[in-house]
Amino acid sequence: MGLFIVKRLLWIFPVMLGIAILIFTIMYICPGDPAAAILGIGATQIQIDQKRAELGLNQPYIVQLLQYLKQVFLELDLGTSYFYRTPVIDGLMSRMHYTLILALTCMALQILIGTPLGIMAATHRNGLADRFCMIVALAGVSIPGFWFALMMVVFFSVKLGWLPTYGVGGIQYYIMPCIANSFAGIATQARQTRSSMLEVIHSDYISTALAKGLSDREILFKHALPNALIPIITVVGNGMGMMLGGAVVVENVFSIPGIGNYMMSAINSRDYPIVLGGVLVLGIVFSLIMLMVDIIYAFVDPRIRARYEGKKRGKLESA
Amino acid sequence: MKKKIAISLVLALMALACLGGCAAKPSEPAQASQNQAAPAQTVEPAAPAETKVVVGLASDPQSIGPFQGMSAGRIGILYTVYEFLVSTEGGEMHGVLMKDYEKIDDLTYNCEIYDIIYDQAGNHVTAADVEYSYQMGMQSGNLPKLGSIASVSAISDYVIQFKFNELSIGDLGALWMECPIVTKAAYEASADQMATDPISTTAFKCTEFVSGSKMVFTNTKNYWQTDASKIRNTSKANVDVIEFDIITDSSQLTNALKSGAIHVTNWLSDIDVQDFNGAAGFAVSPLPDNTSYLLLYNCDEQQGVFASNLKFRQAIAYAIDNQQIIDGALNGNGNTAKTWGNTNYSDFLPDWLNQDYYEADIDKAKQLLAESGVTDLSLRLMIASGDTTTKMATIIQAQLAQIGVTVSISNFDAQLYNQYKNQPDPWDLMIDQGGSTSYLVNVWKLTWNNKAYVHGGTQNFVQDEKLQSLLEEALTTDNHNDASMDAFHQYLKEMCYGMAIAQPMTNIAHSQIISKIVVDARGQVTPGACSYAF
Repeated sequence: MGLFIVKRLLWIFPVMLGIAILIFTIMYICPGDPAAAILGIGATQIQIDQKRAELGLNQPYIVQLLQYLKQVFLELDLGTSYFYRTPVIDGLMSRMHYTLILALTCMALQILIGTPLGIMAATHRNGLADRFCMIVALAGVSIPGFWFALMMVVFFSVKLGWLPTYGVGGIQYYIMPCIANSFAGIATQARQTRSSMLEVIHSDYISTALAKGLSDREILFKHALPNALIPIITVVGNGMGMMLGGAVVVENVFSIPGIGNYMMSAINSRDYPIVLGGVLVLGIVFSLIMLMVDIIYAFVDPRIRARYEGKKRGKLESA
Repeated sequence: MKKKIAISLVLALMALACLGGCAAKPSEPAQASQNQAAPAQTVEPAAPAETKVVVGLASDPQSIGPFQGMSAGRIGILYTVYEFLVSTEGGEMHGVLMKDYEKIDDLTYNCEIYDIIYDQAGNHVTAADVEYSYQMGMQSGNLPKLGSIASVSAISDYVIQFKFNELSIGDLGALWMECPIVTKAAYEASADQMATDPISTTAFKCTEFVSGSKMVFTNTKNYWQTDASKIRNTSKANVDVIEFDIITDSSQLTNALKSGAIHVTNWLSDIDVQDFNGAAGFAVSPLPDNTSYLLLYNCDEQQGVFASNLKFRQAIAYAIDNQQIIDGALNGNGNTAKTWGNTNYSDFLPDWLNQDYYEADIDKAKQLLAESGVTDLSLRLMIASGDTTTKMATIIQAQLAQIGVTVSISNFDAQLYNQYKNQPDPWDLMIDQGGSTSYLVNVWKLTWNNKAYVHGGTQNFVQDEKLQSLLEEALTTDNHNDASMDAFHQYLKEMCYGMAIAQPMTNIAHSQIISKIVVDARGQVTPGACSYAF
């Protein structure tokens, strides 16, 4: 297991290298000139060209790419923001906690609401509870997050004055952003849980457990849920990616100064170092989350655990 | 049954949450600035409360360091953060840090600053600091206007000598209003080049900076200028705390004002502003805008369809009904243009108001189009994305369709738009917006000065020596008069290289705690100078 974790951690480096090359290339190809953005309206072409030279943007693509890769992977430096004039890593770290609070809270909501909803829907198949859960799930996957966010603001903030419109501060500032960002995740989680549970509930071993006279609770939590968990955990892992991506939209709507907001502003002003650094950091976070998901698989499912330990057991068996 | 009732209640609540708010009207704004949900209840009489105003910005200024390039977000906070040698009010230049100035020759000026200036860290500001600030500004390359300065040097403790490469009318004020003044000691002591914690000479010190979210400035009550008669609007401090909140989503900006989370913003669209007109607790202050919406024809010899075809340019001009655009895109908040720029400048000639300026005439447009000999009637109209410009483009598209011209709209974000407007291939027509803090001739200079562009033409690639010479004549300090202004105006109108569409009004919606709105030369709210009724 330890070897597996080390291997997966080492894999993060080539993945990051691939991401860096891809994003750098996309940013290079994308139209827009950081030098013009820095100088603002009124700058002449001569002044823009001078600024491009100063930033190294007049170099050929391959030179710029190699310089960037050397800087990131050999010097472990994400560069300096064109606009803020501060190291990108400092900017990202100072904003990371806002994004993580948002994403982790949304993740918790997705698990704590979506999973019970799915179980309830599966155990009450075709009943009222099932229909209610599926209506909520349908609404969740259908309603765009930004629209839902704005409707909540209009109702709870402008009309009722219960919640702040935007910004950061106490827990009340996160209520609407978290609901808006997690609604789709809750819906997906509920649908996946329902589907997995329904598949398991109709298995032979559940019929056997019923025949043995076990209580519904025992069957549900000891036999059905553990066997339905693998696809549910997969959705949770993917959901974290969605939460991090969705944070870009929600952070902008609610003016939360997280990484999403930072990157969005950087994209608009063509502050390439921030965009590249932001994508790399989010890529690392997501890779680590997917590693955790894989490890959880092993703890949840003995068959997967056995596969990780297969080499060792094979030696014992041959002896 | 209980389950059914519970489910029905939840569904009803969800429906209410989603739909109930759609028809929201502005509620009474909070008196004190707050994002807090529940107002705090005070039991005992408190000491006089700190007065605070919250200003909504739709664009992030990013760094607030002194030598950064100008951006939409930066101009909204500029005068709260820094002071300059001068400021302009009503088109006239007034000293801020500058006490007086002396003309040595046509290109050399001595500028004397007050000897009582101290920054927020207690550093005494001398001529050496002014020289340092200008040198840093020029070295940064981020303040393009400073390219006109040949040298700047402190010649005594409080006198700085400026030598210029060239100087047109209005340039002196513009150059002395371009570079923020900071002390060398404070700038060098700053770990991040003052990007998040500037030390300036204003009455307001930055006390909180949350990157991308908000900036809070607190009145130090220790402003260096004690003679109230010499404090310009840009330096006034009528409030204890100014908070700038960055709200990039336009709907949220409206919601924030309605909920009382912010007190003022000048970033609302003309449509959204109407929500506050007559609403309890709010007011809308209409103020003249120094910018105009402008339409340019691509006159590039190789790629411009309008080059050497005056009748085609005129046909387009006469097909466009400016009043329709004002009614449709500006919600009626504006006036038709009468020259390349608006009427608010001191060098605008009142006679032009009574003269014809491409008044809409479809029959004439059709006739000119037929005479132009153009066969390909497809045009690309480039705009910078935004509610107003998109509406304008859509209206122009419909108007030109009336004479048989098909227009496709190319909508780009601001950065891309600024890049493409210097290239002849991505557009045939372009809607631009321009203004100046001094004279109308400087609005003309932005577009029509072929010395400012590497391609050697005007912004829209016109190569016309007569146009350039007329512009240079009007720009010269000695020759800037009614005759030179009229000569350029008439020639540009005759050649129709471009036309002004409309001059908008800035309608600033605000809470009634602000009894009088004051704006700076760029039309931005100056919160320190506004009057309050807390």
